[in-house]
Amino acid sequence: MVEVWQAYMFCSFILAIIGLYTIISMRNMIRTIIGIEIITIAVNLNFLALGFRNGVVDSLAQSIVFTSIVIGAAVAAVALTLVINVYRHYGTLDLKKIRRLRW
Amino acid sequence: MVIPLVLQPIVILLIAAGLTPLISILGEKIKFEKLRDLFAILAFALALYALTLLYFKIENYGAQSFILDNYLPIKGGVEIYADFLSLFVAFIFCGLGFLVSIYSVKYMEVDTGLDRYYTLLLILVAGMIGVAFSGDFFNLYVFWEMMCIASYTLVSFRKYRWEPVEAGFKYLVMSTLGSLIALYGISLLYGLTGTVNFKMMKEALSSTTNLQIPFYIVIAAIIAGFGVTASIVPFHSWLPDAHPAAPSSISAMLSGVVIKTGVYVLARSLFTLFNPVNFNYGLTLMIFGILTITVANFMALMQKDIKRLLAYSSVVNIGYIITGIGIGSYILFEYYNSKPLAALSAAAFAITGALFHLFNHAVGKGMLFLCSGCFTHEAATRDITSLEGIGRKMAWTGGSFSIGLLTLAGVPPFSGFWSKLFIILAAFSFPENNFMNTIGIIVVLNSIFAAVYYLWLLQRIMIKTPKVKASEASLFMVGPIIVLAVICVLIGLMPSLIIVLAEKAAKAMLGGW
Amino acid sequence: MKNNNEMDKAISAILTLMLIALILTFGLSLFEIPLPSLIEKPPIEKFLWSYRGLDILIQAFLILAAAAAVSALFRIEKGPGAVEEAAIEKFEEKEE
Repeated sequence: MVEVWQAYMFCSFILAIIGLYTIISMRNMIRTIIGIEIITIAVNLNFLALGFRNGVVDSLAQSIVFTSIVIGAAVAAVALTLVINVYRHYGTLDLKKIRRLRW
Repeated sequence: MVIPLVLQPIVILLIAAGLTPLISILGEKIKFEKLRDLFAILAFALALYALTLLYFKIENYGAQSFILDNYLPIKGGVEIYADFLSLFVAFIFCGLGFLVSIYSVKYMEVDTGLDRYYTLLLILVAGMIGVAFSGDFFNLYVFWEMMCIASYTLVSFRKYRWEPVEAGFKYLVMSTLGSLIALYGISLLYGLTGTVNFKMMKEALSSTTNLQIPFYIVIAAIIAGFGVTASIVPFHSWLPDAHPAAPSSISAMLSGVVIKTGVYVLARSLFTLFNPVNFNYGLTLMIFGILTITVANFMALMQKDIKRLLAYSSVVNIGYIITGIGIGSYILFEYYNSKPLAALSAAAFAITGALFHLFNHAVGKGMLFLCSGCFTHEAATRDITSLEGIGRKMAWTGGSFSIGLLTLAGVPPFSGFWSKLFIILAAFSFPENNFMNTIGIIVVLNSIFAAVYYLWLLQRIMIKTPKVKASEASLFMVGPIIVLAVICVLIGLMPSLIIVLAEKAAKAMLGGW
Repeated sequence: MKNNNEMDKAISAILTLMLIALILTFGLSLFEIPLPSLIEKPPIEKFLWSYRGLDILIQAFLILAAAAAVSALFRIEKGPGAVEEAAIEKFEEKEE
């Protein structure tokens, strides 16, 4: 019998792999940022899944997830600002063309 | 209400960061623009004074801990905890921040938006001291992300050129990915123990001894996650792009202290939570360490840009520190059951060497990046062939640059020699173990190999005939460089000043067991 | 060009298979963690502000840092400012 927390942990794992794939296929910078947010969601779900006891999630896990959501939003804000600045210099959002820095 | 002494450095820096925009508006009204620079320097000086008082309090009364209003950690409260190891690294962070803010008075003069620069610099150092002083794994993650957000912005501060912006974006993606992998490890630890406090987790983990695979998954997640910011070799590729692209004062902060924060968190979390006698992570750390040293040494030979060469040499020195920590835990794993006293003293020796090398590299690399900032400020280029011989025209800067290069190369009267000697002697401390002998020989060979490009750079900058017209930089920029050079020479002649502090810190790190 | 694409696909397929094998070997043990019993804690509306109060205070300064960061990256510049040329060969547009 699969328990509730095992099912949620498995879903968080699948979400993490989807997020990792979104970051690695470097077609668009906005997709990379969406990938970072998907991995944040996966880790938050993992915290909640592992705090589940008798039908109620533990308060410590809930507070950790509140704080983690705020941190994820702040990182996304800074990342999107950087994307706008890169677009103003290069004129394109394609990550494969933004490769001036080599060796 | 009086703020307890453990919280004072963080509170001083954060309140100063909040007040800096107001001080900047006040400075524009009374036509004295440098008021915000003086305010930041004053805040750093006050934080250093608070750290000194905290040192004497810890020495007399033991490790300090702070809990808000008796909300106990056993029910989920936050704890701030300071012992000798935290204080050792916090001193380095705050001291280098103080010198960099003095340097920035003249270096960042032509830039706009400087009030936000000083706010972000204060938040960067506040986040680092918070990481050093936190006693709770999730609180450490919040401070860590505060430091990282300030660091991403400061790298791409000069946004009118393409290079900082591209390097900043690449740094952001890789470092956020690393932090999220580490947070996944923290969530698995929460699942295994039910709490996030370091001391409670240690008790809970030491009582369950038959679960091995989830523990190793957590160790792998922590090493990979914090290793991205600590620039261990498979995860280091953001560093040679981000450190040259940042303004030179921020390059000195990044190479000097931000990557050391990653090493500190790695050492603190692994040694506190997982007993080195039962878990063999020393082998992993040693292999990653010598891989880092070897790969980065080869890459550093091929560089034509002065700051990129210094960035690769930062990766090499982090490899030395990680190897030192790995040797310490490997000795405890192999020899604690048969010869406990010899194993403990050899492990303390190795970790003392690693912490002393952390100090030496922060001082030396900070000085090298500040000197190269002086060179590029005068000559407007970073190419080594254009900068040839510039050290002869700028006497004080050139002299300090040579002292910095000789320190990092490990030449005897300067301080870098002692720390490398400790790590190499710790690798040979058990002569019957062939694996550690091999590690020691590889470290010695890489040390000699690194001296090649340090002396090559010294020859290009100091001995060749100058091609470019340059004159000595102003006192605000040369002052911190001379202070760091004096520290290098002084510690080289009397290393016992820092060895005593590093040994107390190493004993605090191993003392839990 | 075409060879590069096919080699890229082959390498990524091999790496994906290795990753799946690694996950199946070690990941299944994660589902058998014995969850420890937790202490009774107050409900979340009282817990967040009392027990985790320090975290919330520090988050305020993290949001200040993000605000200063966005404000610094969107500021208006009037000139080139400090010039430090990098030592990289000049990149020609559209080289492929």
